[in-house]
Amino acid sequence: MQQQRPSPPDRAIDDAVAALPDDAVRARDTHENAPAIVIRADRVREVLSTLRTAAALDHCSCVTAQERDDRFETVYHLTSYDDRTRELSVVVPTPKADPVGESAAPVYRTAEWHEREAYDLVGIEYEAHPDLRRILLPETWQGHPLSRSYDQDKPQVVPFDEAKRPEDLDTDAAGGETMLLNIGPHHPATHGVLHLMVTLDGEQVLDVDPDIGYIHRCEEQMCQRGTYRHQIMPYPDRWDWGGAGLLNEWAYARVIEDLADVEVPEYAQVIRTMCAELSRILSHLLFTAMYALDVSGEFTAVFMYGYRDRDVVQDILEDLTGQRMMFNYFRVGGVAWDLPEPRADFFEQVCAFTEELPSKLDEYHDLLTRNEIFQARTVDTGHLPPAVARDYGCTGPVARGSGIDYDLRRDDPYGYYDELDWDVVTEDGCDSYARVLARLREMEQSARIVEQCVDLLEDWPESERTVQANVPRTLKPTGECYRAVEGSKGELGIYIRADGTETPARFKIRGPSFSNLSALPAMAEGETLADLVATLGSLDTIMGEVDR
Amino acid sequence: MSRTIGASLGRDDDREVTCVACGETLRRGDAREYDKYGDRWSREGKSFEYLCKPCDSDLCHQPRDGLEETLVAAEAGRVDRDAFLRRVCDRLADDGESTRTETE
Repeated sequence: MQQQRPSPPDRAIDDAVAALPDDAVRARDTHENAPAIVIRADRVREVLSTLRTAAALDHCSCVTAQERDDRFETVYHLTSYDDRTRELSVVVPTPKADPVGESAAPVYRTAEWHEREAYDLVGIEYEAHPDLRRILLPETWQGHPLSRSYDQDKPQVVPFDEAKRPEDLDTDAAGGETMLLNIGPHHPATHGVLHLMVTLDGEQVLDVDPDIGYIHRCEEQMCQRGTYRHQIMPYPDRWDWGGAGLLNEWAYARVIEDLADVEVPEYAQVIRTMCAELSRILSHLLFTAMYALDVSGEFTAVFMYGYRDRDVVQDILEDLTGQRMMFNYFRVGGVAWDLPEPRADFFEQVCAFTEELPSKLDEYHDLLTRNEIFQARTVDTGHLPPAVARDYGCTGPVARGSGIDYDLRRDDPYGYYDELDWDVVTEDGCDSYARVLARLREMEQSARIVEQCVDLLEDWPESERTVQANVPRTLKPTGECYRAVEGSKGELGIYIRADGTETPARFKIRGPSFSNLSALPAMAEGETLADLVATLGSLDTIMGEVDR
Repeated sequence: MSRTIGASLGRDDDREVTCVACGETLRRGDAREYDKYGDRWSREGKSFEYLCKPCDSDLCHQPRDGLEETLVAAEAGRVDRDAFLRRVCDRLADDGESTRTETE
């Protein structure tokens, strides 16, 4: 079941790399997941443009910045929406004395936010970046916390700018005809702590500037201080409190199992697949419940139905994992323990849920998607064309709602997904309505997967029920690896640079909501203010994985 | 409690239904819904039948081992429906025969 790595050589990538100017490429390398090239910092745009067009590497999945012993480094993790197994890491080293490279934002729009984060946390600067300023930390922060010279004891002064009167801010480019409106950071429609600075011309949105970082809690640094074997796994649950924790745990499990060359037993893969899909249903039900309220206060019945149905799933997952939210059930090499006894009762509990789900989902459609008010709020609002979605690195139901047929469970298979009968859901409406439909239909597919897993587990011979591989007590892998799974919000990736010690030298998280949210301005500008909330809600962002 | 929730969804768990496989009469809440078209997710304009749990588990949860090979061997999608079904039935009958022989 484990994927064979590294990826097979790709002719188109090889040809495109060979066609790059000799003086642009400094070296070739290999990461655990993909080949890598090291390029000059002043040729980034040229190289990435060539790779994007000639090798069809149209998805900049993640950008990792880090400080090494003798240099700073930016790694662009490139892949393709049409074939996720085609990957290339583009490494851009910059000297310690002058950490400046060219920005990739003109080639991949998604790099704009990633490079802002790299500047904010590590201190690398990017020439020709359209808006290089801090993104997670306050503007007044002194130093870059992930650089080695950072003084952790230095006192910091953080002003509360949100209290500033809008008229005192220099945001009016239209000579007094516009109005600045702060939405959040504590507005209920932001589902967490998100601040949108919205410039309005009457009811029309001229500009949206998402201000994130309010719940930045140094998750990457905390993971870098944890040992691989047990101390990191509890953290991924905390990047998503909407129920998708098990999917997040899988992201870490996948990358460390590749790095440490751990083979997961087939039985454990089936259990993982089943509970991960229950976790996805939990997350999508939360979205459905909350989005009903986002769109109209009249939909409180849907909100309560959503919570009622979530409770059934939470009971199942509590019986399995012992927890209702912060599951911590995955282990490196498998899962923590076997299914609860008596097994027949557990299967009956799961089947009772999947038995009822079709009629319940039909009810959600009656109340929401077939409702005229709901349609008026969501059809043709929050328009996200597929080309824009790709440019911003959108994934998950947000991308699939724009007709992009991209799902890591199928396109870069892991777990037991490739053995089961299910479909990737796409909707081509490119609007908020399509994103809702995509999630509701995805729950159907998740239930199909769960039912098939139950059938398999019921018949699994008792003597072959191995829940964990034999993993050494202390793991000290070496190498660099970027791996991703299909989280509830999209592509959840983790890059680890392992240096042979028992903790990661660099642990970088690619939260799908981070990229999906970065597309909000492109979706909302030109729309009316009332549609902005419906558009934001339709992205189903969770700030835990945005701010980390 | 389940009756209240079921009723809110237009369902009544206490209503009696009949298992279409064995004919037993049972509470809806104890039965499994069955769609003769094989798609319980598309519900518009449909009425559903029911199976008791033992019949559902016997008839609707077949092992998937060998399914892919059977479909390929029967040339699914390449031959017409009748020929496809005949080939699948023949193959399943052959498999059943060989299993019985091995057991004996």
